[in-house]
Amino acid sequence: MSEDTTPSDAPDGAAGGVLVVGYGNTLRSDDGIGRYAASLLADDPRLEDDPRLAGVEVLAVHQLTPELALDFSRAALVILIDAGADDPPGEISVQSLAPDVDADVPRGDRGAGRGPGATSHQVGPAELLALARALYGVAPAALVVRVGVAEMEIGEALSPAVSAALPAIVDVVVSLIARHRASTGAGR
Amino acid sequence: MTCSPDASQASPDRGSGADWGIDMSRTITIDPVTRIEGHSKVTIQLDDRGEVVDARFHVTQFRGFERITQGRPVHEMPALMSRICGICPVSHLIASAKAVDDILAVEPPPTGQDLRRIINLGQIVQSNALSFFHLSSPDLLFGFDADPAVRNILGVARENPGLARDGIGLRKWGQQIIEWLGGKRIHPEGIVPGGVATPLTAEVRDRILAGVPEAIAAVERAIAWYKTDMLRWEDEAATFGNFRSAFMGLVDRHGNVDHYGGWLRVIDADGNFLADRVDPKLFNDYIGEAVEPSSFLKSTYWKAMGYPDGIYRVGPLARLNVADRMGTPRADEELEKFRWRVGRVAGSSFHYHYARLIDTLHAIEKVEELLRGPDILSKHVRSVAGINRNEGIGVSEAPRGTLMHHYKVDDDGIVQWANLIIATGHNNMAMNRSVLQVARHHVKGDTITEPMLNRVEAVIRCYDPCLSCSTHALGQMDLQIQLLAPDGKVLDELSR
Repeated sequence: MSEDTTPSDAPDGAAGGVLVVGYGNTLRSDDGIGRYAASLLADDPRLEDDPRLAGVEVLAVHQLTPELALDFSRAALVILIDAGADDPPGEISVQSLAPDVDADVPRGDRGAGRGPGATSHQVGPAELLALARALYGVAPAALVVRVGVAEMEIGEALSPAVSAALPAIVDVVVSLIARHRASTGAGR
Repeated sequence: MTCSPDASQASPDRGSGADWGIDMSRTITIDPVTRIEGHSKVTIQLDDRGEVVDARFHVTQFRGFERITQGRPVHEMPALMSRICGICPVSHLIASAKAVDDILAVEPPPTGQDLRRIINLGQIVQSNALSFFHLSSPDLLFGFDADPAVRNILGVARENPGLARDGIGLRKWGQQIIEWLGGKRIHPEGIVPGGVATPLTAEVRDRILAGVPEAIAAVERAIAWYKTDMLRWEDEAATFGNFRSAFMGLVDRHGNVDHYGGWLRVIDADGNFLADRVDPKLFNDYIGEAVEPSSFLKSTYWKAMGYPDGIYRVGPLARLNVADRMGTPRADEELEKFRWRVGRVAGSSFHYHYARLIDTLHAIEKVEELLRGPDILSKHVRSVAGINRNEGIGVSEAPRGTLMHHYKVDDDGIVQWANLIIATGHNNMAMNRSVLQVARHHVKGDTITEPMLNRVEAVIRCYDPCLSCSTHALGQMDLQIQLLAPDGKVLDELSR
């Protein structure tokens, strides 16, 4: 697992809790890993048993849409779980994410040099952070947990490598939440 | 291929897709169209003189849902079909559940039907809000020729944050209805064959009702803003898919808009009934489907008028055109103003935006009306039955227009065949016609210009086509526009 977990944006929505959003298309094989991981996390007993993990909201969604900016604005930390098309299958990486304040153009999936909103009905994570800040005055710290995928064709099954990574993905997210809570003194 | 000099009028000699463009001299390709869902491209056909002679909206991704569902138990269909799209899953859930009701030969209890209606209306609100506020308001706020770096939702957030917040608020309200009644915000499972899974609680009812005043205020602010700025777009409205066509939608027994059930009504461009009080389950008697090699998106047509003359439109504009009234007070007041401004049968697809806002206002009012019904907390919300028919059809109004699910099953309830007719298919010929009109107005010479590109994209967005529904594809591609010679040589190319 590679890790870069220093949020580059100050948690100016620090009064809020932690929001975990797993997203992807479960009918596109490994593309749905974010949603599977979020669902697994939502049922994880540690969220109820460990006081450091209290008050975590977990969403499993098909794609990121603009109204999530409101959810983002109410959180101190947002953790996104997404599929990484260019990463080795099953590899987990964590990166910090800053609002897209310098880029004037929505970029959908964040491809460098892309034009305006490559597809319409979804927005990119950095764009959501920027929207939260523009509309509600606050943007949370944000981390992206990316999972390398092997198969993106039509199908409902995860590839073996990605399926095997599921427990580790949940553990990574839990550790990120615990670390955040320890640093802010919240959740105790 | 034979092309009429003015394809904005019905042209009985228009060729089929089989003879598309081979003998034409040049082609402009816009690939893909941005800010719509899925993959698509637009091809604009020029003749030797550089004049636009035809235009097509191509969907280049294969859906395959009808194939995927073969062999699955029919009771799985609503949940499976809802996964076609992350934007309007409820629409597929509703139409699919109704098709399975038909196979079970059951009618959900009245409260079960009302709860389905409420969830469907929540879907209408959230999806209409996405289309208007997120996708189209940048064009309307900044103008179609504004720099794309500004003409986007972030630009709206900076220039008119109240408008953007209203859009997000409406989305949120609609999503919460889906989540609270359906069990999940995305791909809800509360709608089941025979009705809904669980009764409504007073607590959830009151939570939804508490948000009604602000939801109405938000959409009324948007309507007021739109009307104030409307004169600015008169020239655009004249060339944005402004043509004569039929319109189709569902109406109730009083002739009011009905998003869930009722009868099919089809009118011509003058408002005359082509069909009324048609049982939606008989749609195959009236609607044909044409397949063209240039697109995976099927084109539907009104059989009595033949293909391709049987062009009709569906969606918010069609709903307002076919109905006598909306059926709720505030929306009826706005409908009256709408008709005063744009006529009894609005012919320009530009007015989809205006219609979408009134459709949204009606949906909010209707949710409140249904929630205040005396039996809305009844525990009787689901009818249970086995397989009683081998074929079933479900029809409802999705945000983008009339949605039809048609299944055939064996005696064990295993799906043997499925067919979906989605709004983007109904509107396919109208989108082609609209792109043609815009291109004719804006294409000068054999180069691709930004004003032309902006407007071709914008006119398609009027219909808010959802290519996830039409093909089930999600993805991102750069915007590329190509001008091609007959031999395939690229004469001009533009990318963003």
